[in-house]
Amino acid sequence: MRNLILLFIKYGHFLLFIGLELVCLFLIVRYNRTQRDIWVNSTNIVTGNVSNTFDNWTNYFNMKDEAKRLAEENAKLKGQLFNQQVSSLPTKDTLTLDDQQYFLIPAKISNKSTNEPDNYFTLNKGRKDGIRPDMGVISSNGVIGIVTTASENFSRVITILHRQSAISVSNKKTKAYGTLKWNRGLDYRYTSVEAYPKHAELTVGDTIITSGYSTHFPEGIQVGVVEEFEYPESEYFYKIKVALSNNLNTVKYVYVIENLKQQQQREVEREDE
Amino acid sequence: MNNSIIKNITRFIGFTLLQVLVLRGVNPGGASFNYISIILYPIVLLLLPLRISKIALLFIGFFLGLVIDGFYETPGVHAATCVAVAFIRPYLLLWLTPRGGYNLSYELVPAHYGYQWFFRYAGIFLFIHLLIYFSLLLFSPLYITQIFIRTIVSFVFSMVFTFIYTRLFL
Repeated sequence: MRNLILLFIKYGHFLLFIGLELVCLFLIVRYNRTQRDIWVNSTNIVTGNVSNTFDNWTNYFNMKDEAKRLAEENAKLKGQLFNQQVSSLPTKDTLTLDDQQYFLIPAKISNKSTNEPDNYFTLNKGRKDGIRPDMGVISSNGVIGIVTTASENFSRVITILHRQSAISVSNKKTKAYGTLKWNRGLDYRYTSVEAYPKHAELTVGDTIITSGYSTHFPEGIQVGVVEEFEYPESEYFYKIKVALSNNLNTVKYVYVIENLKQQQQREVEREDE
Repeated sequence: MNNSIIKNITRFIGFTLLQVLVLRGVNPGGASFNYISIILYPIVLLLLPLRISKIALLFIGFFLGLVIDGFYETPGVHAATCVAVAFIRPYLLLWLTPRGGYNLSYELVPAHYGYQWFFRYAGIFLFIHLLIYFSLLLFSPLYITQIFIRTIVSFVFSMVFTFIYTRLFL
């Protein structure tokens, strides 16, 4: 206490000086029009910069949530896009009883392999989020695979890099179709198309897309580009090597496609057999 | 002692009236060079007794400034300036200590310390006062040239009047 008083005796005039100047500054800024305008403008520049910088930081911390939100929004938009494609088909009346056929669920890959003969992905969403076996899985760059099993919170995807996966694909230009099969060994950048008929035209660089002749994927999702092909004498089909548009080794976020009319289509097709 | 208080109070009132009634309306530069203000009232602070406490000095400065501001219609500008120079005054006096030191009972006038000392003291004091005053009046580093021009020309004119006052009354 004694020290405090001594301190005040020694520096009291300085504190008083600061106090009076603050009072004066308040008066100047409060009651002088010119000075007030300058003050308000200047402080706006400073506070604006400060809050901008702060925003940048908080944005950085919110990035994870933001990515999630964007993924969900993307899923919604992509879903709308597919539905639009479906509804613009000439057979609209017979094919779609109501507008929504495809619904997309964003998910994150929580475990994966790409260097085995048979490769699986594990997604961080499962039955709880509406994922069921037989749903198609894509990323923003192309096809990933098909869900085989789904638990409460996770689901297992058999990727296109699996010897048992077979996806119906077509040539974007000629519409001729074949089956996407994985037998290219261990290079996850390439796969092959089988059962592509010899009478159809084919050139290197043709784009391969999903054909839509399955219940898993809508038509027109990119798969890859024809890298090279053979024309074997003794067989009825081309041997096509496809460079995948999707790098399955680095992909992180995917969309699971829910086909709301999968069940119907299946039943119709089964009746025939 | 009593004599000194009366003298200072008279000076306070006299310079305030002179400043706000006469000098405020004087504009030697005319409309084309509207930069010259004659500021004499800091002489009140300048000539306060040497033994006055730093706290009292600050309060007197604040009060003087507020009174001037009341007439100039610039609330706070003169007050802030006076508080600042009142704060600086003891350090300025310490720096300008004459060879023989100060005599506590003497007034800070040329009669005791000589014209050279007095004009150095008054010059520095007034210049600081004007610089702070115009900085607060224009209030932005954008006007830095104008602040200096106004300070310098006003300083010259104010010093001339200070000199006249000193020759006549001190």
